[in-house]
Amino acid sequence: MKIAISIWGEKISPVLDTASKLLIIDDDMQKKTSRFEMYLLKQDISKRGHFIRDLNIQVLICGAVSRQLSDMLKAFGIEVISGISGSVEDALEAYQRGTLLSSKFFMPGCKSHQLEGFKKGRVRADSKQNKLRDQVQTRKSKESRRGEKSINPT
Amino acid sequence: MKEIIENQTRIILNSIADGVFTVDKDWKITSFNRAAIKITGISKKEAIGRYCWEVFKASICEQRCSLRQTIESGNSIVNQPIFIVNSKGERIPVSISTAILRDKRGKVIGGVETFRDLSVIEQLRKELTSQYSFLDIISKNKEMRRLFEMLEIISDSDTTVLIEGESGTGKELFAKAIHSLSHRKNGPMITVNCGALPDTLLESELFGYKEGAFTDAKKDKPGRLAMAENGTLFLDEIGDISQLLQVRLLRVLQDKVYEPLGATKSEKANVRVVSATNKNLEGMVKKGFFRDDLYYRINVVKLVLPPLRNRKEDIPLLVEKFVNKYSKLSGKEIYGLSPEAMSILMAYNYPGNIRELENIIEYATVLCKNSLITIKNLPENLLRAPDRNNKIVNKETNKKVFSIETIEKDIILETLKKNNWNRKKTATQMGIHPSTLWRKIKRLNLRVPNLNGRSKK
Repeated sequence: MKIAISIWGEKISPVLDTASKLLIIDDDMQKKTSRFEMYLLKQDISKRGHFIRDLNIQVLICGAVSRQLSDMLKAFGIEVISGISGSVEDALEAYQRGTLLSSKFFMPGCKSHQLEGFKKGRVRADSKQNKLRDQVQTRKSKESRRGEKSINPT
Repeated sequence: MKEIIENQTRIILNSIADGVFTVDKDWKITSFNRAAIKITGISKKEAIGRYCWEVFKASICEQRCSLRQTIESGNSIVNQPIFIVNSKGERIPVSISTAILRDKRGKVIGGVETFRDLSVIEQLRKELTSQYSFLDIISKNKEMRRLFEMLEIISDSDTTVLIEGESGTGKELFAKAIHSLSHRKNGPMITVNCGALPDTLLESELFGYKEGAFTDAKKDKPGRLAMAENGTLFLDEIGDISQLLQVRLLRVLQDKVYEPLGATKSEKANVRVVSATNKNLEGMVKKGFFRDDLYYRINVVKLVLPPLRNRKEDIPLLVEKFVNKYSKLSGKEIYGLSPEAMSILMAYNYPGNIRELENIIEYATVLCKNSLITIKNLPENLLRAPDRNNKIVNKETNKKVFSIETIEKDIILETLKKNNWNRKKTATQMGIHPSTLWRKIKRLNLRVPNLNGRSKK
């Protein structure tokens, strides 16, 4: 799964429409997790939206975002978790734990209007995380079985 | 006593229509007035104690924070246009002003930012622009408004139209407007630049040719006339075509028939011809360079487009349009021009008309690094223009000094030039006595050529 988060130093960027960087976390289960940063140079909403679409991300965590840009990203099939503030690492950790919904990450004023979409996002995010967890467990169990076989051949 | 003053300040802050918030040195919000709550959609309770960028969510928070600039440099910022994203996800255009907050000892304790909601102004501006725009053409000039009205009337008919105007005045835009308003709008609009092709080529381009008409004419080729069937044929720079072609064109306009090269039969043409020129066709007719019969045939309705220098009231509207266009194309966030830059544009003469203005804005957008285009971003030739030299006094601070004297000097010189240095005519036109004008010329130390307008034959 590929997650992006708009960053401003170590913080989440306040406005996605003018954010200058995205941190992308490519959590490929077969390989190691990779992290890299991308510059967002385009100011025009449409160009910015298309640029983010071309990154092939599934989830985008960001601060405030205008409705036009958010609707465009959602139409591209990206799950947008907006209205988030604070430290990038804390938010990522909370997302992976499924606790990003905690009010300490909400920007002021975003709570009420985001909650509905957020719940949906969390459900979807949770299901994705569960799926990932299942994959990890299956892989681990497969490996352990293979290990058992090699140690105790019958 | 302190409480009373604080209470009064709170009442004052809450009664004004501009949003106001203050921050401490850690960028945390310490006060948030009623208008700020209304504009941002965030309650005071939620805002107080939070970082200003989490509450204000402005386009400049990340890279060009005005409050930070003010606190660092000590200079206030006034009326900077930006946008914020409110709690509903709407982009709200606002103009912000910033100032430093100091305690009694003069120690910096934070900053204050006031912001004004520009949504209504923006809405009104859009309505105004739509009122002044006609298809792709923007103008509030009286003469242009008259032309717009004429366009609507003439578009319905199939009348031949001649558009005259200097280069860059928008002749092709007018031709497009005529086509898209006419009943032929679903048909094609074909443009032929008569000045761009040599005669023989233009002939085959216009009328087409038949197989075997000349060497290498291996199959029939339809001309632009045939391609424009049921549509509009726009002949740009019609003044450049040869006498021979003029005769052939006359036949098309008169009888609505033409023969492709090498054809034995005539073909019917159902096209509306709109032609344009930047030359004085009437003068060319008098000199014998242009056939009078063709001139009268294409000149059924004549639209003369005024040059930009005669409709300077349109410059701000056009500038806004081009700034929007090029800031989008370059992916920058530019809101407009600084007043100084705008006054330079207003004072320029525009020999290249709107095309030149567009190029100036494109150039300025490329160079502009902030949200406003300043004098520094304008092409050098504008700053060096002879009629501007005396107006720019302090180049370092980019502050232009207009004195009544320089303006008076400019007006007198310009009027004198227009009247061929005839002082009596100039004085009459300016509504002053000739001796007053003479005194002014002496007082302002104007260099007037030794000739007298009356003596010129």
